[in-house]
Amino acid sequence: MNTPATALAWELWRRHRLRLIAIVGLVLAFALVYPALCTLAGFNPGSPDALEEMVKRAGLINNAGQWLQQVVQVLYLLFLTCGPAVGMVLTLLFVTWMFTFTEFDPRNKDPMTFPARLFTLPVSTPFLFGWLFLGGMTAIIVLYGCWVYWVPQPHVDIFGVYQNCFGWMTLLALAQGIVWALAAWPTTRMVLLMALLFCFLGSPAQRDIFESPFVLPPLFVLGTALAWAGLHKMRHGQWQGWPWPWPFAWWSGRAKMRGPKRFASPAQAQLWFEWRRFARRLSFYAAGLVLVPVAIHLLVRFVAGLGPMQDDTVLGFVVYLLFMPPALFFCFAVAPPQTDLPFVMNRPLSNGGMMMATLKAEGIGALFSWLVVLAALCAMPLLGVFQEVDQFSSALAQHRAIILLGVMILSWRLIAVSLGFTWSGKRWLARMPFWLMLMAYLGGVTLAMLAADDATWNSFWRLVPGLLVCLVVVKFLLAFLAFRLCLKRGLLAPSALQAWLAVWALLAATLFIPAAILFHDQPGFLPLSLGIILLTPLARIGFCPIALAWNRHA
Amino acid sequence: MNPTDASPAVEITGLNRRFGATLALNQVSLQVRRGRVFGLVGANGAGKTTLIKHVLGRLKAQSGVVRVFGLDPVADPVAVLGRIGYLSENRDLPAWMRVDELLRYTAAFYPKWDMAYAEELRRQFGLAPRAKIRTLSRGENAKAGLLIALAYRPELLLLDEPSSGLDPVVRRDILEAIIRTVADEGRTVFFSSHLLEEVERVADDLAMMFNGRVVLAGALDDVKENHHRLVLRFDSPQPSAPKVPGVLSITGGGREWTAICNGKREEAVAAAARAGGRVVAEDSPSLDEIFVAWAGTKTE
Repeated sequence: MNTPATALAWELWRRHRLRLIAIVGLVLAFALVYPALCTLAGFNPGSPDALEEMVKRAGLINNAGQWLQQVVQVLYLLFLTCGPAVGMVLTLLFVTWMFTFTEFDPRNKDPMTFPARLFTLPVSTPFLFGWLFLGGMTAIIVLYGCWVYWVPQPHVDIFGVYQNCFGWMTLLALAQGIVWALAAWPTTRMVLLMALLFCFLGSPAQRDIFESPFVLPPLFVLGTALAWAGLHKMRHGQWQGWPWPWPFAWWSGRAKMRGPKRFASPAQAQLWFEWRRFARRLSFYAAGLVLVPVAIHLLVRFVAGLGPMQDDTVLGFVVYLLFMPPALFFCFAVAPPQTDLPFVMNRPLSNGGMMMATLKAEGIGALFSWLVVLAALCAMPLLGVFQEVDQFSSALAQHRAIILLGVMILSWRLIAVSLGFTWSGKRWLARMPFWLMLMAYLGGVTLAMLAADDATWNSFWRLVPGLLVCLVVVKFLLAFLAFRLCLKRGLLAPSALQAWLAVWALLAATLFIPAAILFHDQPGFLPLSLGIILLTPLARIGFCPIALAWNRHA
Repeated sequence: MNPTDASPAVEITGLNRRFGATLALNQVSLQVRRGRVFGLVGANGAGKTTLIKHVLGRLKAQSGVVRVFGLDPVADPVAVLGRIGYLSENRDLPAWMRVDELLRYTAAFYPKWDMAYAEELRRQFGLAPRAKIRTLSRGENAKAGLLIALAYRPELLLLDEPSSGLDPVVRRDILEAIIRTVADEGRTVFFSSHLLEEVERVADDLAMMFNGRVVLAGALDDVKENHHRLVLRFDSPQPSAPKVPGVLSITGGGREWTAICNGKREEAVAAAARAGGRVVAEDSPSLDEIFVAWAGTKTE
């Protein structure tokens, strides 16, 4: 580290080395394994319309085989079609974030703070700017090149726009500009970043942005100028934020603290705390990610008079809406905000009480998120041709209720079952949900390979009930041990345990009763019932208070 | 609470704590008597916060016993935490809360929460009710933490580096006044600090920690009484610090040296005489000097 440039490069590497290794691993995996997987599945990514080929293949499969076999195959083909593009987009977005050089600031709890310590180093602002800007551009070009030249990208129309290196460079310049110039306005900064991402990645104007020769170059120059000015102003404490005059500020300013209403109980206070700390933000993110695109499309449709949207675009949009809450909940499950845990752990509240409040708040968040999704789905016919979605929906008409209940509970479950890991306070355990998801994903890939051959699949299918029964037995055994330990150590009040068992029974019944009505005469009913029991969280909930005690009394 | 109750508010016996290869606490034993102000002093990394975390139940004793009001803080955290007002060194208040929300939330956990007192303290600290915690300065953050630690009149006020971030005026006018008030009401205060003049002003008892060990504990008056500063004069210039048995530290040069010693004065004078020096002046050392003297013995 003889030069400031080397030192900065080292810092960047030191902060992100695991993620960078993961990116290299992902690119290599796609470069080496993906072509083989395509060959194995009989999928040709070089076909002029890979999406159509995928739909045809899915249609062929739909004619035969069991439902699970079909679902697995369709998901697998979706992965083959979208995997490289999604991988490319995610890694390029990561590099874009990396070169804003921001980090979490525990003082302000701001996740994107440019470290002020860099301004105390004897390096000039042009050097800092030049290093981060040029380094970022180089990284984008290299990574983009790796994805485009090493990984076979399927010919899918909607992903074509992402294959524009200058577009990604412009995105980086604009992101740096927004993050650095609006450092003192975190909320405005976040809104603009979301708008930028939406415009570049999913807006109706996306193709115009990427393909027009008159849009990207000026945006690139604007981003660069903003980034330069932002870094310069930030260094010298200019462009300070200003206190917005809040509505009723005159009232709140003069008002005495007139004995705010007290919470009825510690449990109610803790529920409010968990809602405000975590679940409300999650719900708002879900609402924003669902409602903003719908609103923009509605504006484009009715104000600009463009459209209607094409059939497959509507289908894609519906899929996006349905995947958004689980994806968001998974992100929060993997990386939950833990900054307030030390504060909570010093309150005179039992571990069980904390857990119940968190579970309730997440439940409310999941319900709210899905209500927003349902509202957005209701608005979909206004956007365009709905025939394909309608057909798809009609085919699943009987199963709609159970699917909806299933995804709602699944969204909540993603966080609920991860609590024990994240509350343990151990980093290696906190990352467990991610590894579990990866294992589930690899399991899905294995299932997809099995599903390709009917004979193998049938052999596997015969083993499924036995395997599930074993898992259910293990689940109940672990739950018994966990809850017994909780009661013995006073981590969970008996009333809280009874309440949770009642909730568990209710959740399981909510899924089981419609399943029984719909599938009682189907061969897959037993595995489905056992799957419901397995999916409704019990043992891992039992381990939550224990994990929290581990952290609380290290 | 019965202030005349003889059982100590905090009782720690033979406490050990190891973090990997580092021995953070080594056979720590101390008692904090009810109704007293107990100051815990030590250099950075001495183990003060680790000890306080054991009292809170945030760390489980690897060996040894910790009792707060006779209760195990790990086995019964709700009962123990319900009687403790705690101000964290890190001021880890939720950044997204407003001050009034913080009060409302915290009040729910303490049946004895005194809203009028909370309001009085809030005004005294100059905290706007609708100010977000994230917008507060470091000092204001400390005041907010102190506010919620005090407003339910806890039996034990546990303060980890309470002065950190407070300016001298606030420290003197608010913090010390509060500590005294709490103690005068018959409640107990256990606080850590590295500001020795502050400890000297407010503490009744103190413990001094170095490298995870309590090297000195007792009533402040006794501690000061048992330490002496002796100015020694030698007949000939001493090329290096003279070796005087029983002396904690010795500084100076040439013929005149200043020694800080612990124990009986007569023994120290006799030891100095044996080393060839005579006492030309003596007085009581400040706590600061005692601390530095002990620190010297621990770093040699």
